[in-house]
Amino acid sequence: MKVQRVLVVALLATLSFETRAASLIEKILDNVTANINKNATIDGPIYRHKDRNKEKYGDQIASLLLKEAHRLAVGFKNEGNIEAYYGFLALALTVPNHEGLFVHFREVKGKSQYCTDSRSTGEGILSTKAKLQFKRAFNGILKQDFLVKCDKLEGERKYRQLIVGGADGSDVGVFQLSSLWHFDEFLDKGDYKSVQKTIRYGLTYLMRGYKRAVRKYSSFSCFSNEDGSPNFQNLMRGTWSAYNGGPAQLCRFNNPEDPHAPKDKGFKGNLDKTFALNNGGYFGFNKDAELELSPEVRKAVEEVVENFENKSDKSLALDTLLAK
Amino acid sequence: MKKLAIITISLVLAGGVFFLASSDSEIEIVSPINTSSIKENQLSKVLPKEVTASKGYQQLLAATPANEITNNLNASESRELLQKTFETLSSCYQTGCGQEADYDGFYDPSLTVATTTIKRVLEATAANFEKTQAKDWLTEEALTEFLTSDNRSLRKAALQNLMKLKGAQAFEAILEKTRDLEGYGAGDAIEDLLTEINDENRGNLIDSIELLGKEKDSFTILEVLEKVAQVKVDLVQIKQIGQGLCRFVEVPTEAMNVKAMNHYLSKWAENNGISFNLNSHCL
Repeated sequence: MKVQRVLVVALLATLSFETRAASLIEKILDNVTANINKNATIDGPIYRHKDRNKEKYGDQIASLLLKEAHRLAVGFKNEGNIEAYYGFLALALTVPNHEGLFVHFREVKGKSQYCTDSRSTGEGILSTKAKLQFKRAFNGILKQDFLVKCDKLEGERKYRQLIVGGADGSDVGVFQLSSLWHFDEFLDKGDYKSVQKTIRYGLTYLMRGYKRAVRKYSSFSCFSNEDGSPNFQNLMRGTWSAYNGGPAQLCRFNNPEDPHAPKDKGFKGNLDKTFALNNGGYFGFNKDAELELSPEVRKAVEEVVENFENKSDKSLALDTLLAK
Repeated sequence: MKKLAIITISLVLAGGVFFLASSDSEIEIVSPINTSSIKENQLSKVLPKEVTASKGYQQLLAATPANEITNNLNASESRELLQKTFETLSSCYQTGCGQEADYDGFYDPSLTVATTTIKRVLEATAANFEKTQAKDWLTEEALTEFLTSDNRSLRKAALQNLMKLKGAQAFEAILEKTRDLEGYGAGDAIEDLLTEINDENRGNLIDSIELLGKEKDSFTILEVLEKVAQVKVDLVQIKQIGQGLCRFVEVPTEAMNVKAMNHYLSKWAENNGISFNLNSHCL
């Protein structure tokens, strides 16, 4: 009897772990979201966890990413540099997953457990300058309150939220753009109110490092294969190292002793997830938060990976998606 | 009983490991922070007191449109605020004026507070050139320095002020400076000059591109070639530019860039009703 009781407890404990793991993304997002003013206008898509697939959230995000990435990278394709083109598109499918779990806005039930003030007011931000800029952008010092405290949402059945991550809540949105470094060209312009504009800004900043790396790859040993040809996977990893650490960090990923090496290792993991997309892999943060894709979008995403790996250019599904 | 205990413990441990493995420490959105690594970077530490105490200072820092920064200031106040800010920050912006990498190691010299503040100063002067008496304290030398910045908006603001300062002579002055520019800066400067191009100065532009082709790296050259497809050019000029690029054709590590150069030169030629192929030309 005692043994049976222990077994039941153990099974319940295991189930409890599995249940928590199944909604891990929600647990993470609960801690990194700020509350949007009920009167603010936003341009989605909006992530609703349980309904994400019914609402084709995956299709919307993937399509936005591919369209914006294509706009920035098509020059490579026109030059005949297919690997660079598809490399950037694959990067575009990876970075917002790694940075923001593919979520920019989300909506939850209007329950107090989902509402915290600290992220909405930037109170936890450690840099004085970053905090000031956060408040200028979001808390109505010079503009309307975009982010509000919980008391302003009393009685609301739903809360709309903006991802505000980083350890102190200073990084904004699906590309985790810093309140300190990306104020003038992003936050101040209110582009965070739009998923498309956020993606455009984030990918533009990413391209700045990527293009320089592609053009000058032979100047960096970390980007060259033994035969002197460019190593595009390394170019992608280096581009993220620079996105995360600044332009001087292009080869950071190649140094296992670097204090930020775990971050680069983490990025590699998500890059591998992207590369698994044409081999049955899932699109999304983890399997339990998979973002289902319609057959058309799935095919386009698979074409990106396949073309990158094979240095080919079969893009029927991708071209159809881009034309919409 | 022992077996059951082992199974039980194994299940619990497996659940725990599963949870921990799923709690991915690689997630950027919740990356840990080392509070001791916060280094404050207030501009007020480098700017003179008369600037930080001035009534326009907060407007300069704030999310105020550049053309409104001096709205509540008279000419003399505008000049003092902007001139002193510009001169102080110009002397230290390349090293960030004291700003260091933030807690997660990020540092971009083109996005430091000093750089973006200089950008605001120059946007304010470009919008209010007369009121801020900019022609009396902004120099060609100081402005052309900022054409080399990695911050696109700062380059643009510097160029706008140069145009106002130099008037009709701006084109030549900026063209001269492009020879010192690299990468994105070179491309943007050339692109911005295209609005001022005419039959008289076009030849100088083409000569400058030819010179860049002989001296600069392929990244810089490509940034320029990407921008000039609509410029009038003849076959002799294209050939001269192409000649300077032959040095890349036999370099294996430049193969991608040579392909790109050929693409842009061919397109440029085609837009002018002529035909050109870099590889054939360099044979």
